[in-house]
This record gives sequence, C-alpha cells and structure tokens, in this order.
Amino acid sequence: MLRTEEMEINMGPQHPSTHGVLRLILHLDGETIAGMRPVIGYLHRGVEKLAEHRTYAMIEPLTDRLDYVAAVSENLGWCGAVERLMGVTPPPRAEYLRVVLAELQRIASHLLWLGTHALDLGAMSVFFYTFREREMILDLFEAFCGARLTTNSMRIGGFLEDAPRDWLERVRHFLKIFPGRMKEYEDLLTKNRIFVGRTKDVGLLSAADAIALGVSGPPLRASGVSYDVRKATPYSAYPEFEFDIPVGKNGDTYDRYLVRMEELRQSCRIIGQALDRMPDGEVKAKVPKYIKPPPGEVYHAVESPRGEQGFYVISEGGEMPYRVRFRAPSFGNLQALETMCRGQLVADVVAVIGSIDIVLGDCDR
Amino acid sequence: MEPRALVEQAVIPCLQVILVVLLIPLVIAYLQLVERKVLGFMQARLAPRRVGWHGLLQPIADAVKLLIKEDTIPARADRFLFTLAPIVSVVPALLALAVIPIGGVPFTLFGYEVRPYIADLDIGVLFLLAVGSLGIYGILLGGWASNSKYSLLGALRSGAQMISYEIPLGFALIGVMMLAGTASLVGIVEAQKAAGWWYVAPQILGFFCYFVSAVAETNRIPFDLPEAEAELVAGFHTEYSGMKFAFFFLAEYTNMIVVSALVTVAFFGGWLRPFPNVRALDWLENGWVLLVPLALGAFFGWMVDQRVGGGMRFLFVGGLLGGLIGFGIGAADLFGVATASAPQLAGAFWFGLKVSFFLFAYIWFRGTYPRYRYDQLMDLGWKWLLPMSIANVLLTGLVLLLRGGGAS
Amino acid sequence: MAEETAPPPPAAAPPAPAIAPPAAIAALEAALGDRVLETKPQAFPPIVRLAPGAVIEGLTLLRDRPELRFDFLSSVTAVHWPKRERPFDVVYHLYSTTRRQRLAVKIDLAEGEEAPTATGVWPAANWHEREVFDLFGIRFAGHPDLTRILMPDDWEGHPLRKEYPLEGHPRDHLQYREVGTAEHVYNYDKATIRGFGWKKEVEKTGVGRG
Repeated sequence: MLRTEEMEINMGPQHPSTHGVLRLILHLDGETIAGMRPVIGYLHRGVEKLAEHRTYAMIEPLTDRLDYVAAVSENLGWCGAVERLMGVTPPPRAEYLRVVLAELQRIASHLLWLGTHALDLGAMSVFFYTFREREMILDLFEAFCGARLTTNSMRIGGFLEDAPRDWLERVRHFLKIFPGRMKEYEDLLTKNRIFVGRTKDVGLLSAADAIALGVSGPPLRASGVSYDVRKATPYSAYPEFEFDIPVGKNGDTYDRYLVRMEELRQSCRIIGQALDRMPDGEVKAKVPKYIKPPPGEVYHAVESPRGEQGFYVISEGGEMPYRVRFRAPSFGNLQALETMCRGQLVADVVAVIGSIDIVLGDCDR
Repeated sequence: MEPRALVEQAVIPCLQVILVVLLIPLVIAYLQLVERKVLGFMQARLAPRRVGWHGLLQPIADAVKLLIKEDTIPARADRFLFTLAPIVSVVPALLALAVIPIGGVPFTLFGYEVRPYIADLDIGVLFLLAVGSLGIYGILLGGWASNSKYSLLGALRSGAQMISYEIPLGFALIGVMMLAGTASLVGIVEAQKAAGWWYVAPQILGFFCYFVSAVAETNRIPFDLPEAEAELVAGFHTEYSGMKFAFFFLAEYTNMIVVSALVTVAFFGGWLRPFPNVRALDWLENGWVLLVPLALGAFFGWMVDQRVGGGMRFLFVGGLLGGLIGFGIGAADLFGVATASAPQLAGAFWFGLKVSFFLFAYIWFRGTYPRYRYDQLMDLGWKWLLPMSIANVLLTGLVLLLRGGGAS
Repeated sequence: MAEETAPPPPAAAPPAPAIAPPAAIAALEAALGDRVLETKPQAFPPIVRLAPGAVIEGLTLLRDRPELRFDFLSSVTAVHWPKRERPFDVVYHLYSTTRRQRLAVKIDLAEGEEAPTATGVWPAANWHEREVFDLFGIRFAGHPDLTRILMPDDWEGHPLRKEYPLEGHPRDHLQYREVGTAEHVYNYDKATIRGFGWKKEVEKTGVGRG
C-alpha cells in the first residue's frame, strides 16, 4: 500500500483571500481538508480595555473601527445600548434616519462581500460593478456623516445635525437605479454554471450545528433558522417597517449567497418605506452634556450585516463605563469554519471564508 | 543547388524565423495591453492611460521593468532546472508558430518567392499537438525547481490539467482531418475552399470541444485554478521574477495565439473569406480595405472618448468616417479606378481578423466567468469533452461513409 | 470634568420590551433552589446569579427545558471587580431562537478559582472561554483547548484585568531611536520628485523584552 502523509499548510495571515489578517493552519490529506485551526488575534487592538478609559461619547469612534465595513451598524448598537442604560428615546425622525443609514450600510457591506467573494472565485468583473454602487453609498455617507468608512454617524440621543437638504433625494435616486444594477450581478452569477458548481453543496452547515456553534446573521439564516435581531428583539424604528427575512434551505455557500442577495432587496424595501414616511422634527433628544448613565448593565444587540452584534455595557454611574464587551458576529461565525470545511477541498476553503463574510477588525477587536 | 533555390528554401525561411522570433514578443506585449484595455472596458474602468498616449507605451515600460528586475532564485532551488524551465516553456510555443500559415499562395518579393508560412509540413497538425505537449514540461520543471509547496501544487495541477485536455483537443482535430483528408494546415484550408464552407459548420461539436480544451490548455479563466491568485498566489511561477517570469508569460500568450490560429485554420477557413466559393462575394476579398479603416476609425473614436468622455458618439462617428473612407476605396476598386486588391493581403487580413476575434473571446471569458474548481475541471475534461469529441469523430466517420467514402 | 450645573434628571425608562422571562427564573429557582443567589428580572436582559458549582446544571436546564429552550449562546465574558472578595464575574448571555428571549447568567469566582466549561452545553463557548482565559486569566476546567486566542501565545499577563495598565508594561514595548532620512515629495500628477529635506525618523531597534 502507498503510504500517504498529511500535509500541513499555512494560509495567511497575509493572503489574498482571507479577507483580513486571518491565519488558517490546514491539515491536508491530498486535496481534502482533514482538520483546520484558525488563528486570530492579529488585529487585536484592545478596544474593550480602551473603552474603560474613554467617555461614552468618545467610545463611538472606537466602535467604527471594530467592524470597519459596517461602521454605522456598530454606531447604532452603541448608541442604542447607552440610550437604554440612560432611558433616553431619540425622536422619531432620528430613529428613521438611523434606519435609513443602517440599511444603506447593510447594502454597502453586502456589496463589498459580493465583490470580494466573486473575485475570490475568479469573476473579476463583478467586483468592479459592486464597488461602483458602493461608491455611491459611500458618497452619501460622506455627505451626511463626514466620512466614508469610519462614519461616527450618530450621537447618544440622536444625531448632531439633520441630514443635508438634498440627501433624501439622493437616497431616493440610488434606490431607483439599484435594482437594475442588482440584475447585472445576478445575470453574471446566480445562474452561472461555474459559480453554482463552486458554491452549491460547499461548506454545509446544518441548522442544529449553526445554533450550537453560535453562528448568527446570514450564515445562520441560510441554514434554515429564522433569527434576525431586527425582528426577534426589535430596536430603533424597525417595528414600524414591513420586511421579510430570507431563510435558506441547505446551509451551503450558494444559500448564503442567495440570502444576502435577497437581503439587499429587503433593505431597499425598508429604505423606501422609511423615506416615504419620514417624520419631521428634531433629530436629537435632550441628553445632558456629560453623559453619565445611572448604575446598571445592559446587553443590547443589533443586526449588523455580519450577524448579531452585541454590546454589553456595565455602568457604575461615572462618565466612563466600567466594562464594555463587544460581542462580535465574526468571532462567533468563524468558530464554525472548521465544521464547514471538514471534508472539503482546499479550493473550497476560499469560497467558504468568503461566504461567511468575516471582518477581522470585528473578530479581533 | 542553384542560388535562387538556396535562397528560397533556406535563407528566406531563416529570415522568416528571425522575424517571427523578434516580432512575437512585441506582439505579445501589445496583446497584453489590449487585454488590459478590453478588461477595463468590461469592468467599467479606464485601463492603462498614463504611460504614453492612452497607455500605448505601457508594454515598453513593462518590458523594461521585467528586464531590469532582480533575478531571484529561491534558496534551495535547483538552479539549473529553475533556469531551464522557462526556456522549456517558451521554445515549444515559438516552435509551433513555424507551421501556422497566414495565406495559401506564395508571393514574390524582390524576385524571390516568399511563402506565407515558414514550413508546410504534411503532418502539420500532428506537429502542433506534439510540440504543444512539450510545453507542459516547462511548467512541471518550474514548479518542482522552485522548492516551494505552493509552486509544486500549482505545477502538478497545471500539468495534470494540460495533459487531460490534450486528448479532446486531438480528437476534435481528427474530425477536421477526416474531412480534409490531410494533416497539413495549408491543405486543410485548401480543402475548406474546395468544399465551399468553413469546417465549423459540419464540425460544430468539434469546434466547441476544441475551443474549450484550448482555453484549458492555455491555463486561462475559467480554467486557471493553477495560477489562481486567490488560492495559490501564482502557482508554478510564484517564485519567478524578471526575465524568467517574462518567459513564462510569453509562453502562455504565444500558446494563446497558436491555439487561436489553429482554430482559425481548422474550423474557420484560415485566410478564406466567408463563403469562399461564391463568386458574388468576391468583393469581400477586398474587405480589408473596408474594414480596416472602419476598425481604425472606431478605435480612434473610442480613444478620443476616453479622454473627453461623452459616450459612444465618438466611437460611432469615428467608425462611420473610417467606413466611408474604406467604402470609397472599395468602390474605386470596383469601378476599376484604382486597384486595391491583393489576394495575399486580403488573406492575411481575414486571418488576422479571425485570430483577433478568438483572442477577444479569450479576454471576454476572463472578464466574465468565475473559475472552475480543480476536480470540476477534470470532470469536465474527462467526463464531458472526451466523450463528446470521440462521438464527433464517430459521427463524422459515419457521415463520410454514407456519403461515399474518402474526403469530401 | 467638573460640571457647572446639575444634569437634568434622567427621563423615565422606556417600557421594557416583552421579554421578561419569569418562566426561566422560576424554573431555575425550582430546580436549583438556594443555589440561585439573586435575580434581577427587570434588567435588560434579565440577570440570574448562580453559585459556581451549579452553573453547568443551570445552563443545561435552560437549554433543554422545552418551555425555555435557550439554545443560542451569544457570548461568555467576564468582569473584574478588584475590590470584591470574589473578584471575577463570568457572564453568559443566552438567547432562545424559538421563544425570542434573552437571559444573562452570572457566577462569581475567587482569584485562581476555576470555572466549569460550558463547551459541553454549547460548542460555541469554546472560543469565548478561550478569550476569557486570555484576557482575564480565568481557567475553565474541562476545556478542550485552553490557549490564548487574541494575544500572542507567549504573552505574559492578562490585559483586561483592572490592574493591567492601559499602555501595557514597559517590558513589552518596542524601542525606538532617532535617525535622519531624506524626504522625497512625490508629485503624482506630474510623476516627478520635488525637493529634498531632512526629516527626523524613528527606527525600531527591537523589542524591549527578550
């Protein structure tokens, strides 16, 4: 009999397709993966420790840099958590604007995911098309929040200023052209035999495994579990909007792709409703100048494009929190990588990592 | 041997060889520029524009860069094999160009007869297939000699892929050879002229098998997993830099040109115009005078648009102007006012047009498709293309038998 | 910062969303009796404090009871209260996908005391407990692979403890010294280099610790 050996291959931390500084130690039996060990921590910046030495308002820019691809979702979660601690409710216009921003951020994040995922699989042109649309959204963010990526968009109690005069019109214009662009991506990918062959039945994750492993967000929904924080434990103005939660069947990479594509459409729907019903009024609630929530603790979760983004804040009544814990969706989702990749081929690892959509800033904090 | 024969049989082919070897790197360099430009156009962005007017000097800059780059050899690599591998890749690719014919009829230059090909072997197709297989050695050697796990994996994959797709490639050509009755490339085109149609019509299945196998042979998307940046950095040529890398590059693009040329010759009539025997379409032999200005006009219109923006107006206006000029020349020729026809040039024009189209198809694939996973790639080659190409041969044989045996 | 005027009183708390799980708390109290140390049903999410020895039993109960079904572990984290007698709190945040409820379970630990691992209850706890060990130094008995996850493998110290300095220990800092370099300013539009100047640069000469 031929004697075969397992080969140990190291992927990363510098690698074109691990989407950040992720290191994977693969044990290969030929081309099949016998075992895998992800090594993280290359982007650990000690944000939780930093947060203990910053005031509540100063922590918001820190949250931008956690999941830098979906900064607005992080801001939303942080402001929501502190507002819950303080018992402050932002005015309705602020809540609606927050929802519009958060859904725009969801679209932008999913566009980045789509572009890089397709690029990893070899379809280069999709990358350029999705980034063209993402540029439009980032321009919108720049007009409103002042920055494209690390937006620092909200304040505790609402916003610093109302949206610029023509901003809502520009969002409406974006909503008008976006479905046509989405059709372009779908034409190139959804029914393409090669793409389907690369993603169908690859990286299977059963629903029971997903829940037990703490996977949240689109990977969980693609496995058949309908858990979306926006519907499960609603926050901000989400209870007032009608939208569906796409749920997949098989839990493979192709389902994760379909779930996210459908989420793009649902986000457009939410933004459309928010624009139609946008209330007038002020955008900032009355909060004291120096924010000192009463002693207590809270765990507030939002649905970031990656999954359940949780903020556990313990306040002792001072200006700085006593302890902040950022529950990162990428941290939870990455744990499931080994289960998803066992028995797959090396080339599939790239597809699976792309489909989980991790951001190492979020994972390592 | 008398001097004229000596010159015609020995010196002129040598000069042709030198011309090809000198010209091909230039052509490849500009082919690379065209690829970047076309890809950029497909991806809604502006491709190289800074070096020279609209990027026309970019290939020169790339060549200079490759030449002056530091030549690194990995620490424990096998130096001899490492340096030999790119050479083993390039030489067969260039060798294959020796049998590609641009036209059928020799023309006279300064009193000497010059043939539009370097050599017309009776076993031209066989020669091409054999020489193409030799190129695989270069890849295997390159991956092995790099002393790196990734390179080795990439080389093995690439080698296995190329070997697997050689077979449908060969079988697809057998159908053509059965119809033509000869393996000589010039002979195949002459047979298509005699038959009155391009062989793509009866051999559509063969064409399909051939072209897909060809894309796989040349390691291009959708079959370029061995060089996929996302997975294995660059596969077998990860460790190569400078001129050695340039050689691998050259080999890949030369293979592309050879394969496109072979597809043109075998399936699309080589230098023949569409419907080569229909007298009424003889004016298409002057087609180059119509289409060349048209294409040039459209191209320059597009370049102007790149600079000033404003959409496709310039493209159309430029194309229209060029087309009018060409039409004028053609009409002048039609009415005997001036002669613009030269069969060799027309043949070369049609040949070039078809080869360009296939090269464009290569680039088009690159911009559109994701890439196949390795096992899917092998499945496609062995389970689909091979049976299809064998079925094609059987079908062709059956039809020939029923029609009365022998070459049609 | 000193405040010039007294801050306005906080507004009335918004009505708590309907996720109060008296059922969970009641079930735990019924099963574990006096090992449930305290409960805070009004918090968001509600908090239950258990005795450390009972935590695995309690978590398994919460996961398996059909009317509770807390099948999703959101996070495991720890809090350091240096002034307390038992300074560490380990907090488990749970969520039920079917009942749409959240719950927080806390235990308190003394310095050096080991907590039982929850990886048998939810495999998701694996990495979360590694992180707690990495940043706080709390060991989990029975954990399959208790190694550092975020900090480098050979790091000494546990950064999220309150006594760990924010800037880190000097022994872990990198050393710098000043050198001089030339500064070129590159003009991207004209593709030229303009100007020369000397700029103070710092160069890393190594890491402070061996």
